[in-house]
Amino acid sequence: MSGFQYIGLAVVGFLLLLTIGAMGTRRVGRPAGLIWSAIWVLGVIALLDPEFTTRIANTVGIRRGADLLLYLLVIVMTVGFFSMYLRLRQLRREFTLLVRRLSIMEVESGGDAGERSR
Amino acid sequence: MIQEKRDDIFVVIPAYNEGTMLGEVLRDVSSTGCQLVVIDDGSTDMTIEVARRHTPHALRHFVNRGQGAALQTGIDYALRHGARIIATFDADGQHRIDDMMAMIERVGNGECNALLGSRFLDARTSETIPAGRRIVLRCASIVQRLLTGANLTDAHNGLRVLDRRAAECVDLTNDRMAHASEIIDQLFAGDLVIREHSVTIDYTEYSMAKGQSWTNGFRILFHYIISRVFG
Repeated sequence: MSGFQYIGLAVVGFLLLLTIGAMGTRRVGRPAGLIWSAIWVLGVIALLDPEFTTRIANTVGIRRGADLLLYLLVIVMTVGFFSMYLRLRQLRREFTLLVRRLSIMEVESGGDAGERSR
Repeated sequence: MIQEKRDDIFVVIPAYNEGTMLGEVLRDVSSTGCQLVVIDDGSTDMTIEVARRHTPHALRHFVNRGQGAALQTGIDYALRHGARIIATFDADGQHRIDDMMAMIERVGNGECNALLGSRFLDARTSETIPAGRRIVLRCASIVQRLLTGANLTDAHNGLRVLDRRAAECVDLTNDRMAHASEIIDQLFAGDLVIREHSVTIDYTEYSMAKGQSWTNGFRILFHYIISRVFG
C-alpha cells in the first residue's frame, strides 16, 4: 500500500466514524446518515482496490475510473450549487419579510426600531 | 387642484435614494388629497427625512430589499389601513398626476379591478422613448405574453391603480425588478377585470439614470423564470 492510501484510509475512516457517531446522537437523520456512510464505504473500497472505480466505470461505458469520478463530481457540484442558490433565495425572502414587517411595526407603534439598530 | 379628502385612496411610492426629486413628487401627489405611503428602501441619503415631512405614512426598510419588496410593504400597509384603492407611483418624477387621477377615477367607478399604465397605447410617449429603452420594453412585453398569456402593451410601467380586491391578490416574492412581471401574473391569476390606461412617461436625465439597463433585462428574466419554476 502507498502512503496516499494510508492517509486516504485514515481520513475516510474518520469521516465514516463521525457519520456513524452523528447518526447515534441523531444529529444526522437515518436516511442521510446511511447515504453518507455508503459513500465513505465506497471510498474505502476504492482506496484499497484502485481498479474498483475502473471496473464500475467500464460497466457504464466509461474507460477510466478517474473519468467516472470527474463526471460524478461535476454533477454533484452543479446540483449542490443550485440547491445552495435556492436555499439562499429562501433565506433572502425570509429576511425581506422580516425587514418589511419591521418597517410597518415601526410606523404603527410610533417608535423608531430601525434608527436604534444603526 | 382642489384639496379633496380621499382618505381611502392610498398612493404607494417606493423610494431608494430619491432624496433630490422626492420632495417635488410628494408635494404634487399630496395635493390630490390621497393618502401617501412612502417606503424608503434602505436609502443612504435624505429620502426618509423628505418623506416624513410630507406624510405620516413614511415607512423604512432598514436594509435595501429592492423595489418589489418596497411595493409589497406599501400595499400591505395600505390594506391594513383600510385602503379602497391603491395606486403605485414611481418616486423619480416620471409619472404624471393627471394620469394617476384619471386612472383612480376609472377604478373608483368600478370599471375594472386593476388599471395598468401603458406608455405604448398611443403616440404620446412612444415617440419620446429612447430607442434602446423601447426595444427592451417591447421584448419584456413579448416574453410576458409568452409566459403568462397576459396581453399587455407595457410590461414594466410603475403606474398602476388597484382596487382592494386586486391589491389582495398581490403577494410579491421577487424582491428585485422581476416583481413587475410577478404583479401582472398574480393579477391575471385572480378573477379580475384588468385594463390598460394610456399614460405619459417623462424621460428626464434623472429618471433615465435610474432606469433599467439591457443586461439587467436578462437578469430580470432569469429571476423571473426561476421563480416560475421553483415557486
